[in-house]
Amino acid sequence: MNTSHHHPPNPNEIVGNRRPARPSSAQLRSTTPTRNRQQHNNTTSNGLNTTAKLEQSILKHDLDRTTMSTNSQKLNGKGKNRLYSTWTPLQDEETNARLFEERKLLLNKWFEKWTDDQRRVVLDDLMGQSRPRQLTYTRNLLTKRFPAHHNDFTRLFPRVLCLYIFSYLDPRSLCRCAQVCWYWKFLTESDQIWMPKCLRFGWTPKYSPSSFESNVWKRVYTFNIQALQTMPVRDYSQRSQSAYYDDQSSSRQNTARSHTHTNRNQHNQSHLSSSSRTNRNVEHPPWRANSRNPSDTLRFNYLDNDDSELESLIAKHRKQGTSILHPTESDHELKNTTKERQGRNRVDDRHEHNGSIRRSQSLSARGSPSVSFRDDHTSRNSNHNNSYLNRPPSTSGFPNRPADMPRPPSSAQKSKYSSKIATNEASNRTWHTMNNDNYIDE
Amino acid sequence: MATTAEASNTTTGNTETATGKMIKIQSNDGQIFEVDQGVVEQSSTIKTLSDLMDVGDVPIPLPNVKASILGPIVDFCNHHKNDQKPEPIDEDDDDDPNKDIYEPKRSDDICEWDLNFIKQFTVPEGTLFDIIMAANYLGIKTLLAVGCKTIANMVRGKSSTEVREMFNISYDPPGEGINAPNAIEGQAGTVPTTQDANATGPSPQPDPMNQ
Repeated sequence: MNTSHHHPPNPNEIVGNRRPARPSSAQLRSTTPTRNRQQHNNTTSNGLNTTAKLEQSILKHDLDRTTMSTNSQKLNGKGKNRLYSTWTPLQDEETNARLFEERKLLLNKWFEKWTDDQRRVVLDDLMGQSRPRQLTYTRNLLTKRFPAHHNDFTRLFPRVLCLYIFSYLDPRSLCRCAQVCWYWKFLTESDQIWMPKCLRFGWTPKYSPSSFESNVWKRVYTFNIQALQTMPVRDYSQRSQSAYYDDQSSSRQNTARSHTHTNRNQHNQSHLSSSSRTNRNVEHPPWRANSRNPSDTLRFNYLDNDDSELESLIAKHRKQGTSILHPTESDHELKNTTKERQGRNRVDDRHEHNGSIRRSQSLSARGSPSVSFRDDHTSRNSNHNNSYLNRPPSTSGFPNRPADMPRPPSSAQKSKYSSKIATNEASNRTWHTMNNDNYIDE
Repeated sequence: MATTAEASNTTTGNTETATGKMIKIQSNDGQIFEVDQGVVEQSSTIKTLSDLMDVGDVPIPLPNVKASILGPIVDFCNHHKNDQKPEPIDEDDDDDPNKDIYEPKRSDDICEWDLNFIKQFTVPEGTLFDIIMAANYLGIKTLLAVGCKTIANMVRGKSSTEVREMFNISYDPPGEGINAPNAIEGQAGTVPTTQDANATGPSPQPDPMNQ
């Protein structure tokens, strides 16, 4: 940094410095115009349109003239209080103020004459050159002039009101709102919103959450929704009415034996050829007939719909004695959360076998409706076939119905889940081992 | 104004329920509204205040409500004072054992008059929020429900970006803007260097923009 005030240093050095030391009056005359020009070249060089360039060059010319004239008018080089504006290196405060005033007027004059586009360009330029402090000042000016009215209502309202508003929203909208910002996420995932949605269908967390835990109910909801989506929906009453199924149910006893036989044979083969699959497709095994129009999966997004859809679906499940809560027993994801309920319902081998069957059904129903895949699957589990043939006669009225449909969720499920947890804890371990058996079978 | 004319119509048609007692309420900018008992019944705040204070001719001050908001609210209450108290136990759902307490609340059951009423308030001007805040303050449950349902209807079905635009919510995605990994450290690091370079400069203001 140059500190010699009274000995005029190298002019080039002065030009290069951002805040130069005060040059002598003689030097001022020579250096100021060049410095002006440099400054303007800097501003004009960054991508302005031609008219703006033209205007600026005119302005620059004008300003240069002003500087020259004022410089020649007043130059007393004795000021100690130096104001270092970049291109008004004058020592006299009065002169500086006047100079600034004149230039400001000029700027205003030109600014008035510019078109809207040009003004925008210039404003962009000015913003680019401004420092953070000036930008903050500008923002304060703007907010004073245009108060931001469309505010975030969550910051405006008390939390109760926000939750009240969000309680009107459906799950999908809530999930979207959770992506808006962190506070919205906090609000829309709160338990107050999701708990009624869960309790409506009798979904409760399988453990008692600690008081520090949040978002429990949303997790319960999403878990149950996912379980719903992988669950096959079978309308047994309609199927049993059709002639095809009636016929099949009457001949069930005969075909069952033959099929266990063929299954055993195929079990010996390592891999099933496609031809054998098609053969058995025609034969229609007794334990699981294929539906001719595979509509047993409802493939719509539950979040898309209002609760009425979901409700009717769940009601259907309840009526047919299928609990919503263990649709896919063998699913890895669901293992931990469903195990209590599973443990209650599964008491013997037959149950377990049923679980594997049902899982295979749900898997195949998801992708392709072909029955052959299911047959392969069950044939590999052929050691279970005995239990399947020993189905109790009470369920034989529904040929496709697995022997032991789990019980429908009772009304007690809705209210008292804490007591249920206690009773279910005991059965956790047994179910766990059984579940492992299931996996071994795969 | 059409609303005031309608309001006066309802008053004249409903003289038997409206007892002659009129109560004055005053907004925070000094404007005084005269409301009858039917309006007072709807606002729990005004009702409590008038019961407690046993006002004669003194207007009840409502310091949280502007006149431009209180006027429409009075219109709203005038329109709704003939309603048959649709569900007096609107909040206390537990009283009715047959009702599904977890039934999701509907937001599309705003009646037509209310729809037109709420249309004059918008989010960009902030008046909709004012109305809701005022309804919350005054304890007018029907109006509060209408306002909240309106907002819920606006939010429903929108993507998160649309919601952000609608409510002017600033958001920096992870790793950008204020969430950049070294947004803070970068600024902090420039401070001493700038000051060192311009140690003799008259402006102590460090400017990271020029670096």
